[in-house]
Amino acid sequence: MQAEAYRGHPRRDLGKLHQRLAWRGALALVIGVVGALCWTPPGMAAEPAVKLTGDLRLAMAGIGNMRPAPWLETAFGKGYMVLLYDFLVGGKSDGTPSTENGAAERWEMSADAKTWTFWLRKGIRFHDGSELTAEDAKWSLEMVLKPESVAAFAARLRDVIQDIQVTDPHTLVIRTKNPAIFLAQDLSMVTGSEGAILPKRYYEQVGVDGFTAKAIGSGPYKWVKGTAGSLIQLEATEKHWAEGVPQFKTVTYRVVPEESTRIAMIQTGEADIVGISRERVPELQARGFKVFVKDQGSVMGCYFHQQWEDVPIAKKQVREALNLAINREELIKFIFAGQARPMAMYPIGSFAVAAGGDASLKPYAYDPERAKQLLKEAGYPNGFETTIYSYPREDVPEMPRMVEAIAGYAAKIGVKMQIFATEYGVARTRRMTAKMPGHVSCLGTPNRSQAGDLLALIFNLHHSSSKFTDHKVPALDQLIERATTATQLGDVQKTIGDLHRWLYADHATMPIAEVSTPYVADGKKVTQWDLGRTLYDNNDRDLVRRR
Amino acid sequence: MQRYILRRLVQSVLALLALSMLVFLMSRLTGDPTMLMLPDDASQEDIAKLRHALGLDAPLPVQYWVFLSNAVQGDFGRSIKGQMPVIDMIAERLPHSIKLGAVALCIAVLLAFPLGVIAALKKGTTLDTMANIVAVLGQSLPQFWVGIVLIQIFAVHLRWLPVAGVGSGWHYVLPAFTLGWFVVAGMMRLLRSSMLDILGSEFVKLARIKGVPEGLVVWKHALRNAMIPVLTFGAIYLTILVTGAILVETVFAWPGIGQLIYQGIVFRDFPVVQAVVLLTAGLVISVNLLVDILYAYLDPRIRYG
Amino acid sequence: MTHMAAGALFRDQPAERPARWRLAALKRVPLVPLGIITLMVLTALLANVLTPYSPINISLPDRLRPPFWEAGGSLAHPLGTDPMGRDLLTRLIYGTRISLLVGCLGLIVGGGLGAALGLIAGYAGGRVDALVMRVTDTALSFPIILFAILLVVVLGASILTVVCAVALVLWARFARVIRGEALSIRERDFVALARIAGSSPLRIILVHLFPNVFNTLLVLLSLQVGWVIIVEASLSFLGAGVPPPTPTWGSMIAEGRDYIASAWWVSFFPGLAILATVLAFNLFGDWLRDALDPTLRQM
Repeated sequence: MQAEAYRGHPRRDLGKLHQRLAWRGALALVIGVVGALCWTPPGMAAEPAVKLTGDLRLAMAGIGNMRPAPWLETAFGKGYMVLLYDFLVGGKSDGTPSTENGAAERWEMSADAKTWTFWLRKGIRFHDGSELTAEDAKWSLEMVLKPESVAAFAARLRDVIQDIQVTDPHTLVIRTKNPAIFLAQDLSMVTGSEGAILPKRYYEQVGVDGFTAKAIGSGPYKWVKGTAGSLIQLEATEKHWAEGVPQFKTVTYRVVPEESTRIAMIQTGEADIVGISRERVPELQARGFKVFVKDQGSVMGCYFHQQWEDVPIAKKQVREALNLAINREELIKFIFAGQARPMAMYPIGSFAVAAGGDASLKPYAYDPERAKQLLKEAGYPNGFETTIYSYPREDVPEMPRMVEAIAGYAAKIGVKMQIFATEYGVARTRRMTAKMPGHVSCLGTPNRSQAGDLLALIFNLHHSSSKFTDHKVPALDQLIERATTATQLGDVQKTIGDLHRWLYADHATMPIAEVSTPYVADGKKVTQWDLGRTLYDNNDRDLVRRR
Repeated sequence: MQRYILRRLVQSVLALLALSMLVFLMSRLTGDPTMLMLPDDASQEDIAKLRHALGLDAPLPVQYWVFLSNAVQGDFGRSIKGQMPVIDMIAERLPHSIKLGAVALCIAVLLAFPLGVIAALKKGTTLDTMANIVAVLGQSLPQFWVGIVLIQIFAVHLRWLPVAGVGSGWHYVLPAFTLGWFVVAGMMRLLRSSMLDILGSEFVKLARIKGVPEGLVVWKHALRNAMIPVLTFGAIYLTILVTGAILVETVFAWPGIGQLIYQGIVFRDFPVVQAVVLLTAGLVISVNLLVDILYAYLDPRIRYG
Repeated sequence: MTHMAAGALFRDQPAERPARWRLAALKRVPLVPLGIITLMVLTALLANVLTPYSPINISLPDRLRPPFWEAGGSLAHPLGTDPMGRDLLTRLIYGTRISLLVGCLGLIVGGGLGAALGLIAGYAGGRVDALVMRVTDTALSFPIILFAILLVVVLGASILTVVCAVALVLWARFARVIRGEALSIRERDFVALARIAGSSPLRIILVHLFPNVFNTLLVLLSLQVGWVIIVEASLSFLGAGVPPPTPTWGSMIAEGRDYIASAWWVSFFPGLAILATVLAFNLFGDWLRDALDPTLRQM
């Protein structure tokens, strides 16, 4: 009987029940929604939406790991760390070390270049009031050198530094394993973040998680809050011993992955500075925004991988053919909106002339006919097939289009480049495990102006012992080692010139261009900004300087 | 009834366990995070030391056991890239995702209800088709495109609403609409069909014979009953909205868990991927379980199905 | 489970067998959606004939030309060109091919797998059913897009990867619905008779169950085509779709989003194509459902 009732008229018996249930359900849903809207977990107050006077808001595609310690942060996160911390050695906008704004007021290298002494200033205070001493410097550097440290130049420093000693509260002595003439440079504000000085006692007190929740430094700005992957907010200190009183009360770095959203934000005034791709510069300039450019800030090039294997690109003629097939002028004009210059050999750009780069070398010509001829001579009259990797990079939004263009040019001389679309992680892993024989991939890196940095990069890219190399050529190794073991800067510069010419003649890589990095800003708020020639940051201290 | 609940509970736990194993294996298939963390010139030794420090060189079953035993205590390990406890990262972002999902659901309901009722009442007419088209439109356009276009229109041109991020209540409008529009079609269709079923049922026929005014029939009796499946589906939709908002989060720079897991996958951040997948799966499975139990309570036939 | 429950609560009469085309529905055949679908299929098949340009050869000096009715446009490129100088109309035409291909393959694999599992689960009942249902629950609780990205990271981006990702999500949806249908049909007299007569389970599934779920399957297929096309676009946006230079509507929209303010045509026309096609399939699927099996109306 019951069953009959159910089958025929399920509702009649349960109608009222359904109604009650429905209303209770609706009430529960409404309560749930209202509750969810009102609930904010402790410590997570709503971020201010109103425009504060003197609040500088930047919107970028990415800001590194957003963990404010050099051993936790990648190269791309250096920008905000320059505001938070003082470095062992200061730096100038042109990329040279400075005695004016670093913790060390002077330093000295021993005659054999294996002992460095740094004399620290007295009276530098961390944001919690404690004094910055050589102990903090020693501890910070040792943290950077630990195996778990992910600092960009940690491995290099580990190879160089033997030990660090504190001879008195304001004197630091570093001994190196081999002659190291560039140590001051490596630990300065203009290279990486390895020279940043963090407070040892506070860090050990609160632990790594406590520190990243509220970081303490001695720089012109102090930490307010941060959400990993989305936002970092800094607040100005009263007065910094080197920078004085900053211009802006707060500086907020925001991660906005989508470029059209960033552009919308600056148009509506929700952001004051945004990073954009080069193509969008003309239209934003036309709308009255100010564009600050780091001229030739990056160099772009493509690699011919694993040239020691039995692959077409192992032959110099093939590499030359590919270099002649690329119409760099056209590529620059259309892919980079003209905001780049062809370069002669990657990664030695125009900044490197002072470091020994050869300014007389001219970029390769555009000559597809000769390219086809060379291929025939090399034994590939009908071309060949290979793979080119395409992956998105937050610092180079044009990468996929550039790769397509290169594949297009190669196709015109008969080289079929299959585009393997992936992301950087996969490509990098393959490279480090040597799984790309004869393939092509492209990368960009900052344009280096200091000999030490340039040499280290060349070593990574071309010395047979490096995991990133595509060469196993004894003559090249010797040349590189001549520079790494030199004890005089002059010798290093001369060797860099020789290296430059060697790589150029060898068509070791496919250089594309030196590319400018534009930032669009609200001209009323940001009147002056020299983006400088420092590595991996935008000279953020100059940005916030009071004028 | 209790046996049914127990049975389903056990099955759900087993499903979660299986999923944990699956996501554990899958995330490790994506590659080696140390390759991405260390700088270019790191030596083989450095890599080995880092792997050891992260516990990645232990045999897989051991790693799995460590992960599982910690997970049931609420410790999901430390993010490899973010270098902080995963549970803290999730705690930072989950509330934003839930809030966005809740508002999106409200908007979806506000759109779906009138559309569904109109479509049911005017079944077969142009109005029915029109309502259907409006609802289906939300599923016929890619979400990211809708978001980008809405920003251009409402934020840039009209300046009525903010562009991105969190902040005020107004910051919710565009992303929640973009997110919610996607589920309007399903909801509307559900409401329409259950309204139609009720309106054609004996119960309603009886009410009409009794002389109950048509308005009361539709709005009081029919709609109330028709809402039940929609409400229960609402809970399921909420989980979809909370867990599947990656596109909206990217376009509107919304700090939700979609972005968290996306970054986790791209950087091979196993602990993050495992934790977020397990938590969201747990959420979805529990909601499904609750809904099924509710229905089993209402209709005994299902318990034996 | 919940679909079944919703249906069970409100069904006044059991589903008819065999499902018939309802006469009333036939009078309201949706001509416009059908027309659009036919147009798309023809375009996909006849792509080579319809356009002289190549969809993949780049020509940088021609980049971002506007459609012919705007200043700077010409009839040589009626809908303008994309950021690499390729004719937009050509890429749209070839894109039809790829988008429909991905859709069909994904649906055949995913739908086929899902339907098969659903039938088995629905017929077998008991433990098998519970197992399949829990597995589909698990599969459905995983955010779709992220699953696809995971696949792309492991396998590399390609048409195959996109099809796999789509199929791996679709099967669970199909399995659920088909299983619900199978459950209700299995209780019917003709199935019981077949069992008594000694037919093997396989025969029962193929001969008795499948024809009755076929309509549901058809409706589901037509409704999910749109979803697949949208998912492909979303994957392209996240960098996990079909890689360049292959034209797909999704990657064209994703590519064009940077130019929304300056070169609106790059993403507008593929967007229009997606909109028209998905809308057409959705409306057609709605009509199909009304025509074939109105008890499915709550899907």
